[in-house]
Amino acid sequence: MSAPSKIARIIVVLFSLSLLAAYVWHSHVTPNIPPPDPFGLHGIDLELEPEVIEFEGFINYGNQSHRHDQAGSELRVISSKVINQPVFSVRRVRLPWETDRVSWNRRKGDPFCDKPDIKFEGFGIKISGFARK
Amino acid sequence: MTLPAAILSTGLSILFLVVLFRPLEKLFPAREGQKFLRPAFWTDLCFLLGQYLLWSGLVFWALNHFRGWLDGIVPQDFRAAVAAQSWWLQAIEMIVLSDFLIYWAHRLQHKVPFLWRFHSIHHSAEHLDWLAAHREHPLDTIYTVGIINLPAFILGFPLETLAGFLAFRGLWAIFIHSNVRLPIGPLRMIIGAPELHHWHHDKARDAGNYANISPLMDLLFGTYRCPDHEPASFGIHEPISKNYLGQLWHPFRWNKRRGE
Repeated sequence: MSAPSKIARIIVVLFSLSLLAAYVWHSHVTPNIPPPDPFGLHGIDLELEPEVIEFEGFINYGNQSHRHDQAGSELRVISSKVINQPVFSVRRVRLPWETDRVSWNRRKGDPFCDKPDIKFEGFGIKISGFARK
Repeated sequence: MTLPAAILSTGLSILFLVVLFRPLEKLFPAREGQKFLRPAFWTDLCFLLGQYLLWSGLVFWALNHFRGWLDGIVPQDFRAAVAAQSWWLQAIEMIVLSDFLIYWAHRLQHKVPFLWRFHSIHHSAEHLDWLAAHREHPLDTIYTVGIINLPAFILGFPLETLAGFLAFRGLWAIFIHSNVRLPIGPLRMIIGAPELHHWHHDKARDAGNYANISPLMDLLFGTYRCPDHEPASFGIHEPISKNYLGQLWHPFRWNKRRGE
């Protein structure tokens, strides 16, 4: 069998290199997308302003209805209206971490990344979940 | 993944590897006249099928647990300090550390008898080609893949952002086993070439070239070997079963035989 020509060899090398490049490309090469995401490619802006609403008690806005008998001497209570209105106070909670930017590193099909991007528990509130773009 | 999907995926992977490497082996053969269906072809094919259809799940499970265990013991302050660096610096650190660790882990595989029990399966191949790259005991794979990913696990570096590099490294590992002699000139000082790794598989066993993707570690630690010809023969001196199941069992009966 005659030796393969130089052109055939070059074609084969180029073909193999193309396949290699295609494979690497197909594997979702994203070497320029760093995890901290300084360019905002995979990030969302998220501002959390948690509030704690506390119940203070009731204020009764109702009153009693009175009626005098004909003689006008005796006062009778004919009804007692109690109209309780609940009173709440709102308290803003200052979070111990910055919430301006949350990095979005979760990638589809990544079995290792099963932890929520945001997790906070305290001050009577609980936040946990994945940030979505 | 369902079984039909796994079978289809494996079939496509084999087809891809044949299309990628066979023309190179035909036109740039390291050993002239080595046939596609060379001796032990079916044994190596069993290793490939086992790796794709069976053992990859075990390896993945082991790695996942290993990573979870490391997550629990690595201080978060350390990871935060690492993450504060630029991504490129982290990537370089991970690749260099990974190459350093796998270089020494690989040397240990050749020095420590217990590790050699498993690694000898890989070296038992007497014909090197794209398929022989898959001849590897699954526990040996767990050891290798665990070590190579250890820096990323400790540093908390998300490997998926290096998917392209990892894909390239995987294919290159197959390429360096292929029956190809395609000198790449001075580039082989930076990136491993088949002629270097063929010498690692030399039956004489004192051949060096332990590094993974780049021979820089071999150059650094004095184990770089690159004669201008192919080794006389590949394989190991110990007797070993010729079939797949026998080779899988080989590490566990090794002691008994040596004790004779």
